[in-house]
Amino acid sequence: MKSTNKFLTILIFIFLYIPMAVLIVASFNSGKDITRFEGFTWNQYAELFRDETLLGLLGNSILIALLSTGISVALGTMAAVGIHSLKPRMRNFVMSLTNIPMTNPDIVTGVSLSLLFVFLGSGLLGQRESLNFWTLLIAHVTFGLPYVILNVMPKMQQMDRSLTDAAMDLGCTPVQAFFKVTLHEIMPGIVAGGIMAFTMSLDDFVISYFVTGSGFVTLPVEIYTYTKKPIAPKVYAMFTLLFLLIAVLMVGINLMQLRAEKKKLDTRPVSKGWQIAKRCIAGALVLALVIGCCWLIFGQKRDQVTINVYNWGMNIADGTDDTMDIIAEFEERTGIKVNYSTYESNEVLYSKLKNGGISVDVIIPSDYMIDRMIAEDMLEKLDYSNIPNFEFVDEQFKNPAFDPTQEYTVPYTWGTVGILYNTQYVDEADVVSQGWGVLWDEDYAGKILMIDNSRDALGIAQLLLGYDLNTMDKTELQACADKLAQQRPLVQQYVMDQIYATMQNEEAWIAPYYAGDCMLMMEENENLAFYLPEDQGFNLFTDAMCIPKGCQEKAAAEAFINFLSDPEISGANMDYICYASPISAAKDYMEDYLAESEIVYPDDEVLEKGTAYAYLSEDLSRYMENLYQQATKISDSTDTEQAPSAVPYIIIGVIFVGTATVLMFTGKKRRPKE
Amino acid sequence: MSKELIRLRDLTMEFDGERILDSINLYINDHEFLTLLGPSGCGKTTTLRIIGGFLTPTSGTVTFDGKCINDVPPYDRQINTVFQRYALFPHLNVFDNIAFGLKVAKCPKDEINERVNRMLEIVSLKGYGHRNVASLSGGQQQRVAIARALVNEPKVLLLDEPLAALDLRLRKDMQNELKRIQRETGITFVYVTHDQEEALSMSDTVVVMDKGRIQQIGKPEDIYNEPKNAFVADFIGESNILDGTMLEDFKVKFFGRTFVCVDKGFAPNEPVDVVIRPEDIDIVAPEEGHLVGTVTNITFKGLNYDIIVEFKGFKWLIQSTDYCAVDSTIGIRLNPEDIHIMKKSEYSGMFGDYSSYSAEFDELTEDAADEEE
Repeated sequence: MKSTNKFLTILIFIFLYIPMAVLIVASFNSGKDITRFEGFTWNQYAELFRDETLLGLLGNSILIALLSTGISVALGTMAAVGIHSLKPRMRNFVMSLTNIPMTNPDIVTGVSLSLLFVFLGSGLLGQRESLNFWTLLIAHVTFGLPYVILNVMPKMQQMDRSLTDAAMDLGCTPVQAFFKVTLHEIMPGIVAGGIMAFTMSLDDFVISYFVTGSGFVTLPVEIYTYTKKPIAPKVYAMFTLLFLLIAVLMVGINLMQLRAEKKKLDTRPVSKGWQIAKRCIAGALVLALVIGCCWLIFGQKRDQVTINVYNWGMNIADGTDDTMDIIAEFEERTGIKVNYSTYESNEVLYSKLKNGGISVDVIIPSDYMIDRMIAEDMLEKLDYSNIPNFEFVDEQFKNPAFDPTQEYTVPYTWGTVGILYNTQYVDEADVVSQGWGVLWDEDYAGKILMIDNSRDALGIAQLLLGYDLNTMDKTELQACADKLAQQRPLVQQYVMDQIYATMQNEEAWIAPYYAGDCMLMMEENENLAFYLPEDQGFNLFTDAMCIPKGCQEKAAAEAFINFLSDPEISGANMDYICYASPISAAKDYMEDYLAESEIVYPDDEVLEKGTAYAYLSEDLSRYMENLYQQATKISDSTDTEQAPSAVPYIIIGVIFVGTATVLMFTGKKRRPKE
Repeated sequence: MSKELIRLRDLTMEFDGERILDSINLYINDHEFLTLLGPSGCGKTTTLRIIGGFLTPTSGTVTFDGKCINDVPPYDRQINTVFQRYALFPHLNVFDNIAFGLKVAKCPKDEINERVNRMLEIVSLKGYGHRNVASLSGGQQQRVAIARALVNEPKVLLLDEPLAALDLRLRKDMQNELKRIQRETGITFVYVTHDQEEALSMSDTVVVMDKGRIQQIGKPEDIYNEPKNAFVADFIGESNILDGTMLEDFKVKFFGRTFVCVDKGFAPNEPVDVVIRPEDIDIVAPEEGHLVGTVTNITFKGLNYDIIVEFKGFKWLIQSTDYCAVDSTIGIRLNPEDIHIMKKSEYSGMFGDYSSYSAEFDELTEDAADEEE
């Protein structure tokens, strides 16, 4: 029985730690494909330490975690001491009050804090940017505090009350007694609470997401926007280091506690060296905190002009993969500081701007969203005399449909939506002959991915049925929805970013997607190919730089837009993001394979067959969204395609439950024997 | 004796409307070893904590050296305390525990070393300075606690049942040790205990307390020999307490017989409590005795036998070195100095009857009952 128990215990540990093991292995994988281990390498780590952006974000996270932990620990300990001195009934009441924030769903806490901060900051104090570093810090203290109180309270209750009496008896004032005696007694609780607060702060995403502004972003919030591209292996390296850091911390603390237990019964003198070491560690921690605070308060030069740039995730070259670090270059050349943060969709950008609480100087939305923002008077008119590089923009991108008078925007990138397919499994002839229709080809049933947003999905149906891409005719739209409903049994999954993994791993064979992303995927898997059904028509999209209303540093923002429109910079930028530049002169500075790629730069005659989306009315947008949802999302329980992927989880679940049951029974059986 | 150091005047203490102390009046002399003795809940620890400054009395004053110290916090009083469970600081070693008060007072390092080391010698813990306090035995911890308080050279040392957690043997040793330390240092000790033997053997003055009131103050001998009421008589040692009538000075009547005694000053025919200590009773042949009774139980106690004797339905405890068989008839003699007369009090009739003597006795009757079945 004993050996079975041991075996099951080991099984549980494997279950708990296998994900971490996979991550660690992946961080040493020289290949980029996570499903194949191609050899051991330290490169991911080297690259991690070269990536200043990522390290900066990690630094932000650690800084906020340290500061919020410090504040939580100080406030929480004071609170615990206070609560402890209350009468028992009051004490219980207050304790349950402090526990509620812990059990409260993060999302509720996050949204309510965000509302409060915007209400207080923008509403009452008239702040330009009510969500900032300090609100983030306050939020982290808010959820760290209960953990500290929860851990310190039992220690307070365990403590012999006469210890403080004894200290006072020996001449300590109550404050001295606290620091000389009580603090030592409750220290294990403080440390445990502090560690919990630290780890909660370090990995918090939900609350941070709602309360942070554009100026200060933590690692989890940023990582979330990375979904546009697969997570770079160097991120695995960073996570591995983080995991090890936490593991070392926990093991260290356990060892220290063991040591303390032993020491109590030890009759030998306490070694001076160890005491000095302990003091040094404590001193170093305090010093780090103080430096962090000083850096925050004095480190940022006040007189320096700072602009806040808000862009799609991974939509600017950042110095990795031998590209140019565009922002660093801009800061160096102009002396203007850039606060860079990211969003994951046009809609997120829109709501963040609408809700207020953030102050942004440059944004880069897509065409139809710009249309909407202009309609809602959310954008500033640009002073093109500050953007001389606008002259490099190709004529065909001037006066676009979304900004016909060319007053608000400077184009950043453009691209097409086409068909990505795997040549190993899909006959090229089928693709060319059927065009968009290949996505309805029953030969490829179950291997088709469909783009998961109403505008693009309905758009493909519109093209197939020969309607206008910006049609407002509801009967036509209904026909498109019926077409999508027909396709549903053939579709493996409706995807956006998940397309990277599924197509590269060859789990799916055909999918419509954006050309630039398709280029990136084709770099990873050479079996992939791209086809643009020019005869049926296609969507031609543009992302353009704009300045939202409320911008405080318009001239600097325009300088930034101008900088990005420099052909040399634009070229260097495209090397990283793989989209097409609206500035033909930039091709001279791009890598040849990009500049010459017909996927990125289709011929002009091909381009003429493309259509840009226009912003329809809000009503129609909603109508289309409903149609799309009805056609694609109403799940039926006979969805057999999902079954195979669930099998491993079911097996693991059964093992887990079985193990638990067996452990429970063996535990019960053993007692009578003894 | 020497001059008065502490005086408590009309000290009253209430918690949530419950009266813990009821007008305590007491003075403590310099260099005195004074013990507050009483059952748990009698208010002795509360009194001590008020003297230490950890509690503020509801009314009444505490004066120290002639000055009222009601509002002086504990850290400003020239008083140190040895707590019941020692309250040693677990994060400090023996040396640092003892040096704690001196360090707070910012003594020079050399002086701290010297004084702590001397203290370690006094409490016989030389060479234990670096030891962790958790690694010490109970008696050693106790001595550290005493050293930690004494090293500050207080005017008064308060001890709150310091020996309660020790086993009997160790307790005896520590009693001697404490007495020696008190003599050597000349510091005033205010000692709280519920152990009457401890109180009698160590103290200069014993204060017997019950229900928040002082029952009697006096030298140990006086308290034992001249208890003021049935409570004191019963609490201090064993006592047979009987109802009697004081016929006139030096003549008391109980059990229908008149005895000569050494007490006087009562009204004629005043009802009184008569105390007879079990060890003062002489057992004689039935025909020679003042009273004749039947032995109902006898228990060997080491030094003596505890003998329960029934006299006319009332059971007495007699302690004697002689063995008497159960059911035998014996006589007893009472000398005048063996009879102590007390005025009637609220405690009259509550103590001093050994009809339901002890746990052993109860067990015996149970066994007997079992056998009958």
